[in-house]
Amino acid sequence: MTRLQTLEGFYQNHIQPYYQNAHNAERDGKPIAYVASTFPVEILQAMDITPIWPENYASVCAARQVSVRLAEIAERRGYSRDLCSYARTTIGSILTTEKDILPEGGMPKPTFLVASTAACDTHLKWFQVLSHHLKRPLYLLDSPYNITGADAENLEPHYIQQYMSQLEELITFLEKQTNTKLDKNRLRKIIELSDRTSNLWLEIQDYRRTIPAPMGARDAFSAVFFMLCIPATQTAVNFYEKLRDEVKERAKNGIGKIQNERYRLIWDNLPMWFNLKFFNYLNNLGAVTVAETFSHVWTGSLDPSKPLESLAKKYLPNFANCSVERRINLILNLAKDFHANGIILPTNWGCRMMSIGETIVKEVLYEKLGVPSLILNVDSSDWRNYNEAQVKNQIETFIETLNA
Amino acid sequence: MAEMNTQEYWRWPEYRHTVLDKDWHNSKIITAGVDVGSVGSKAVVMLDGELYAYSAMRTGGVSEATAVKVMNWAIEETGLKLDDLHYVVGTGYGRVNVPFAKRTITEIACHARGAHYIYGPTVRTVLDIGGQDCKAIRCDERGKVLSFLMNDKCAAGTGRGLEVFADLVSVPIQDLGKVSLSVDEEPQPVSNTCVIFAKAESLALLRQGWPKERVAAAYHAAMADRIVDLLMRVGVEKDFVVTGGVAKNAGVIERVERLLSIKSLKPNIDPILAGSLGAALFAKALYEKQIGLR
Amino acid sequence: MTANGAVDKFRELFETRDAIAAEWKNRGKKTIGCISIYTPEEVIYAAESLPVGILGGTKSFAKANVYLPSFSCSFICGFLEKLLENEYRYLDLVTLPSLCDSIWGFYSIWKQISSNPEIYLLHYPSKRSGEAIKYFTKEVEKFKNFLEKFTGKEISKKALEIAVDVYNENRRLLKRLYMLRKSESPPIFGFEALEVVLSSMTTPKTLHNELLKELLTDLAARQEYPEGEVRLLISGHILDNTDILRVVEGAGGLVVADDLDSGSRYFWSLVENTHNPIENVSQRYLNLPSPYGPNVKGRIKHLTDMIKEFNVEGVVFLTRRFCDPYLFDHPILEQVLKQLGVPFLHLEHAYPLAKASLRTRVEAFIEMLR
Repeated sequence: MTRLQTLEGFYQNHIQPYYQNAHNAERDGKPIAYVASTFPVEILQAMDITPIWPENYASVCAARQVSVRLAEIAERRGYSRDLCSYARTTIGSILTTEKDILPEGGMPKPTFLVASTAACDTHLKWFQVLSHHLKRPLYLLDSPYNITGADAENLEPHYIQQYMSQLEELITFLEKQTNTKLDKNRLRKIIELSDRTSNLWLEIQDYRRTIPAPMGARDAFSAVFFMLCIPATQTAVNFYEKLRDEVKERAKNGIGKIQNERYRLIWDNLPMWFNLKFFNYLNNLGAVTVAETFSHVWTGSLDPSKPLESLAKKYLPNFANCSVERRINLILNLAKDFHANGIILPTNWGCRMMSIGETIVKEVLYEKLGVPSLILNVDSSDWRNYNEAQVKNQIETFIETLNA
Repeated sequence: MAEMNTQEYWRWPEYRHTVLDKDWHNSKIITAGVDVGSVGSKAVVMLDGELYAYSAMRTGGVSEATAVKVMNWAIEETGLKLDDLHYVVGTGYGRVNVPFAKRTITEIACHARGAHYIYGPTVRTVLDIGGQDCKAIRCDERGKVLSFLMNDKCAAGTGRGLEVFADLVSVPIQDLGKVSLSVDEEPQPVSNTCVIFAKAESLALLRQGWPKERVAAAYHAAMADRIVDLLMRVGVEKDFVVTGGVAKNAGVIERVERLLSIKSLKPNIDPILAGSLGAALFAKALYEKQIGLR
Repeated sequence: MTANGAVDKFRELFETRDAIAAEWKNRGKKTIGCISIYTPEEVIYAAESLPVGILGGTKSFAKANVYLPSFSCSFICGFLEKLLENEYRYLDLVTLPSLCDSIWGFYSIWKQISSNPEIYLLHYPSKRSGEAIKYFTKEVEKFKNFLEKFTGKEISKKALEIAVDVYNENRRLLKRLYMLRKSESPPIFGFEALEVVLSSMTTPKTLHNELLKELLTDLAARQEYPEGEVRLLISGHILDNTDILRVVEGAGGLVVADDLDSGSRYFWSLVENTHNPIENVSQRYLNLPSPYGPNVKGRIKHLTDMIKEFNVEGVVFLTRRFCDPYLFDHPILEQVLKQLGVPFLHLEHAYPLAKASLRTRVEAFIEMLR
């Protein structure tokens, strides 16, 4: 198994400074916002508001093996153990009195919280609870539901209009909160950066079509951080350029993630953040992940000359804002384009948004492409829902069927 | 031919006992409490609100028959007959199946009242670890329930979970707690989500070569974790006490105390009797009301 | 334990709801399944169609679990199971509100499984602002246009105004019924009140109004009163059968009020006036207190108002397993009640009901309150 140089020390070089930076912002009285995924973070970045993503923090807590401890704190305060483990972990991190167990000093206190209704309903309730305990306002962006799953080019004009007017309302709120005005030029620059990041990320993903694939899931789940959390930064662009160059070189020279690539997998949903070694285990079985749903749903082209319209076109077709058909088609296309011979469909306990429709994905993939899928009962951050012996058994049995 | 080892490690001893050296003929109010649990049944006789005699046995297939059996066993050797009892209250899972009980009261109220009797008026938090469920109860100085939480969905954190384990490691259940404490270092707990997982993990550890003591420690640690979860959700206030059969398992209790940083009071009366004691005390109060003394 | 026959008619209506819907269809009209509380039923009524409140059911979910993961909401699972078992074959259309992932997910997969019945998703915004009302009004307008095409019946402004009147009448009558429970001796059990409200969701409203008027007269003359040791309020989601209430009231509690989707929240507020019916209907539905979206303040207000108005001594919270909106709100509501000094019991339940275990908790709670 080869390691990508660009990703060496990723946590120390990028995650830690990100949180340190946020703490500095708190110390200096600069505005900080908790952001939910599917939210147009570009607007925040254009106004120098530091975005903190509770989802990201939950994955950090899981990777540092403290997520369950934090979740227990939330559970003891009455939050059901069946709720999303991201939510329980971060609610626990807010409620705990043992601040020294929090990785990276915990999430800094926000000035306000923002979320879009394109996110799952759990996200909205989770943020309501955070807002309640932190005593900070929560701003909601009402996103029209993209009921037909239309692409950016085919969106109904009134949906775009609706979203744009919501963005205007958001800007008014942010200007009030920060006592500043949004600089239109700055917004254009931000949009440009975000667009660049997005294109670079997609380019990187494309190289994984190569046989053997030069990059795997563990790499992607680290590197996606920029795309997800701070896309409109020069750091993101620089990093992805470097990563792109390295991955491109490997693809050109036929250097695969693993030597004897026998199985090419698609990984849906989230990884087990507390057990990223699992991908090494897959590598040792001769399996490499060539694409993840997660890596293919956050991108979108942006036109700096039409900033608000671009944002509408980027965020409205987000798979979370569409019916399951869009996700089925995405996985179908990924399986085709990336020459996959197996799909892994992990469930995240209590995550209905991602798990409803999995059985249909399985059916369609097999019917249309003859590609089998495996549904795994695991969790993104709560290892109490993970039974290693059982899961490994299922994987090994599944791999055997791929041989046939 | 070698003899088959048919020892049942999970089976705890049944017993009866006459406590007071008293003549019940001199008592004004003779009451009884019968606690028919899903795993164990207990009966208690009180003379004017003082513990006189008791019995504890395994609940058989038919609750009603067990209720009669355990009551008769309690009064055996005392000369008392069922008819001599002024008032009987039934409690526990099978409380509606005590044919000679005049009233039923839940085991929650009875355990709080019984804990008050056993441990005194300073009790504020009662943990009852029964055969198939676990209860955390907050009470006031009179032993009246203020709030409670129950976990009866899973055997994890209950007596049944220990019975399963005793069988697994072939250690008599009454020795299990001690065995779990004879380790130098606490191992990581096994899964506390589900007793089936815990059992599977324990088996795997044994196969890996872990000594029984260590596996027992891991299992008890998981139980304690689960119990502490329940306690913290209801909130723990001193004095903290434990009732129910599992109160006698030092392996669970010590670990719970450690996790909570609070010591539980030690009983002078068998804590498995808390439910039936509470029932007998309620019986006294109800009888007094009936005859106009209250 | 039951009251005199006054409520029996409603129980019968509810139990024969399938036959009622079938009879409606035989007259050449359409039946439209919906989650009653969150659906602008007036629009359906104005299209001369019967809104049929869909229920979760309590059997196992063997068929549904092929499509829905085990941690799906039991209400939606139950509904899907019923559909797959063909128990709702009289439904022409199902309309659902986009309120939670289970509903949204169900919509997604039903479209992949079948077009019989057809399914329509009504999109709810999460905010309650002026913009949101405009948006939702457009959505309801869209729904109206769709229904016109689907039923072939024009929905005039007049028809809508009449619908609003009929529905408001139902709401007023139900509220009058509930107000009788404020007294020291309420004339009906909680489970009976539930039967009356449930039947309202599955019966033609004009018929239900007539029967309600009769009921109110009958109850005025009532001699026998239900007995109970403590006055309780039930708070939760859609309770689609009386099992749990029967356990509670069988254990000595008397349910005098509720904070349920299939209870007071269904009818507590009226549609204001009718000069622009679509807008007024939209406004009323958008402002319902509910756990959907980050709007717990509305829920807190309704709950605490009911507790005060009905002299409630204890609250029983019912949460369905895996129902995130209620589960996230729950600790906040407990905190509110702790501050008010109102005792509460939290019953988490899943189907099939573990009656013995429920009963023990309820009995212990009532013992606590005595």
